[in-house]
Amino acid sequence: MRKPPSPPTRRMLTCSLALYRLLLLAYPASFRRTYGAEMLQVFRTGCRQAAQEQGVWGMLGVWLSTFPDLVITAFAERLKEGPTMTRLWLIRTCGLLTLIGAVLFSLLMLDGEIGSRLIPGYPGLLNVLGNALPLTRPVAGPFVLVQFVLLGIFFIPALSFVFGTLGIWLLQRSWLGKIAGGLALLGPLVSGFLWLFTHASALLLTALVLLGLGLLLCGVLTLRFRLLPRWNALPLLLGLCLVAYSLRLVIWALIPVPDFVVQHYSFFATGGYLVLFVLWGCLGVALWARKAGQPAQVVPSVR
Amino acid sequence: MTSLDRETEALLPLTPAVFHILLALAGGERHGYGIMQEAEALTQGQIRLGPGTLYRSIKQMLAAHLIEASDERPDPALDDERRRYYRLTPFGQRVAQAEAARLARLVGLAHERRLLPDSGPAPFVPLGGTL
Repeated sequence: MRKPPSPPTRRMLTCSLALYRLLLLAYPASFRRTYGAEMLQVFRTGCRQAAQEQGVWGMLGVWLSTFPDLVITAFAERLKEGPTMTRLWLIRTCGLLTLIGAVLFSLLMLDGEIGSRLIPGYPGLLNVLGNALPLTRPVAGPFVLVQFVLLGIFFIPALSFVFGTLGIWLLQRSWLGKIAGGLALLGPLVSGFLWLFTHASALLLTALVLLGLGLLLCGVLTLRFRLLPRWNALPLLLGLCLVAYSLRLVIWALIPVPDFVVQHYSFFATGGYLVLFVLWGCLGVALWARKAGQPAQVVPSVR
Repeated sequence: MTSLDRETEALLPLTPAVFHILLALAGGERHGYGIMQEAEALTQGQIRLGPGTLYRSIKQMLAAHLIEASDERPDPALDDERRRYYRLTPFGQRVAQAEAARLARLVGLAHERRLLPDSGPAPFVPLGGTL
């Protein structure tokens, strides 16, 4: 006869079931309605059996095999199901994420470049956090992952930006829109995955250029079809600014820079960031404020 | 080739998860956890289906009419009524046989090319035939 699980094991069993029930939300609602109860029951039986046979370690083993399975299959089901929210809500979500992106972008710029100009010797908090980690040996192993997570903040605004671009792209179906969306999506993908192997600045630059180009294309469409409730020139302006900002080093290398720009670099850099931030934020507001049926003639019907 | 053959061939090769579920159900109808245990036992613990993979495969197999949900329970008094049992359909049986034959042909080829240790004569499976 099997002995009953100890109190800590019982507690872990209860917590595990609650957590698994919560994680089931990762699956699409239709899948969850049909199979959620059965999956929970299978997990419960597996956990109970593992707890009775091997205690806490057995349950950890169940989690180790169940969690990656859950992540992969939930992602696959979501991908198969496609977006379930209406286009209007998708675009409004894009607007909100674009706004968050604008705030994070400005924080990053303040920390990274403006901060270092205002405070002599200031290396940038994010840089310090990222570069201090390999100095402590115990974290040398997971360092790459930790640094990626920390510096991944660079890509949060980029990703939010992509959501915004995607929102504009989803408003119409032309091939130009698809190229624009594709370019904007390439940015964080390129920078996100190659970040670990090559120099970060070059990739960030590539990401920003791709995002800028994507936004330029989206800007043309937005102007042509008047896709936003107002300020239809915003994406175009933002795209131009982003490309110009990203290529400033290349431009400076090729074109002689006037002396007064070099002398007042801080002023121009700060002004540039400010313009980018304002445009970025306005685009988020414009997307968020978009009402159903504006403009109805180019919005595809909600499936 | 009949249309049924074409339908069967169109589903091949099966994913390992789907084939293991078919193998588990070939021994009789089972509920989800029973399928997981049977697949693990059949492969000496090499294959461990997670709940996500199991029910995703079950969803696909129900849609392809390889399996069906069964209302009968072996012993309702001893069983949880929330459990759903699954069983093979005749079409599922046919697809499982075709996949087994395909794999047997591959094993035969591996024997022929001396990729496997000599463990007796290779099973003879005619091309295009079924076991």
